[in-house]
Amino acid sequence: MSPSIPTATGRMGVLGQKKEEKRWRHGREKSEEEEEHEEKSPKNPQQKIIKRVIGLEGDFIRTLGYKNRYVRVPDGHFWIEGDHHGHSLDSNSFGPVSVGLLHGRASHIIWPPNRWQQIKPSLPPNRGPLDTGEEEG
Amino acid sequence: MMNARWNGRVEMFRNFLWKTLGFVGYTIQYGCIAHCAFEYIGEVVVCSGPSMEPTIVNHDVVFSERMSRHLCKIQKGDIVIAKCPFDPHMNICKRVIGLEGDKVCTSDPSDLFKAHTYVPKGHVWLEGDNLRNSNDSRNYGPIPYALIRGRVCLKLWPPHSAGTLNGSPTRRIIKTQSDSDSD
Repeated sequence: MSPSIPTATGRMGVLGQKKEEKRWRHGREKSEEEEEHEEKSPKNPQQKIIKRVIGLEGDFIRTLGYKNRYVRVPDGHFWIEGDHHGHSLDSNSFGPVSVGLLHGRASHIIWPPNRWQQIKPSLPPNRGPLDTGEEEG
Repeated sequence: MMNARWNGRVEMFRNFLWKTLGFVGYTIQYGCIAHCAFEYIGEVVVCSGPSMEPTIVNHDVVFSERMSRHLCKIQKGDIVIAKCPFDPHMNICKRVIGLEGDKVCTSDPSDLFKAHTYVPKGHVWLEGDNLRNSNDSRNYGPIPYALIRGRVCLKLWPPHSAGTLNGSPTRRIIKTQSDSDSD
């Protein structure tokens, strides 16, 4: 996931993150899109991975290298991708991820001091969910 | 005389303040200990639904321990509480039929031709004991191991069936070579 955050595996000590329970943010579900979330890897339960949320449940996503070209994200799941597409182990490899695996939201980078910043939610260009209106148009 | 009365009131107020702070301190301490206990040791769960009959029926109260999950010691045949893969606010209570790499049978026992699949890495295959009335991995596939919250080890209520829980009544667990070697 370069250049924003180097891939973090195992301990997450250097990244300041708020542990946010999903139920507190129920009213703002749509605004969680585009944010970076830290979660337990579905392939290795002891590892945590940090990726960007590209799609929430019900969204249609055009995938990059997944077995299906277009995917509808199932209920209770989301679609995550690393910012560096070529070198990222994300939903394009293992498919949509259950929301129950979410561990927290990465809110700030606190080390090294020259990279001190708030991580703002932003969707990379061309990675947004497909509008069915645009498809028909 | 006014000064004495005023001092008396200030003294009472100060005592009250210290007692309140002491109470709040104890509450925070016990709250932290309780949170750590529920997070790392175990929790009491009220079960609902028919999918684990006859082992666990509707309104049974069970105790689920968290240590096995954190130490990755969940085994085939354990009853586990897991987060529902399709609704993160709901929990499901099922039996582990297969761990990663195990062969599991995906067809019904009544089917003539049996279909098998292997559980992928980092996942488990769950099935309820009441095969006819259970929504489990046969419907939604294997679930990631990290969704498991705890292992059910004791039934606490009703008293006449309290105690440890029985093994799987359904004979869906396929024993591998390594299982028989370790017995």
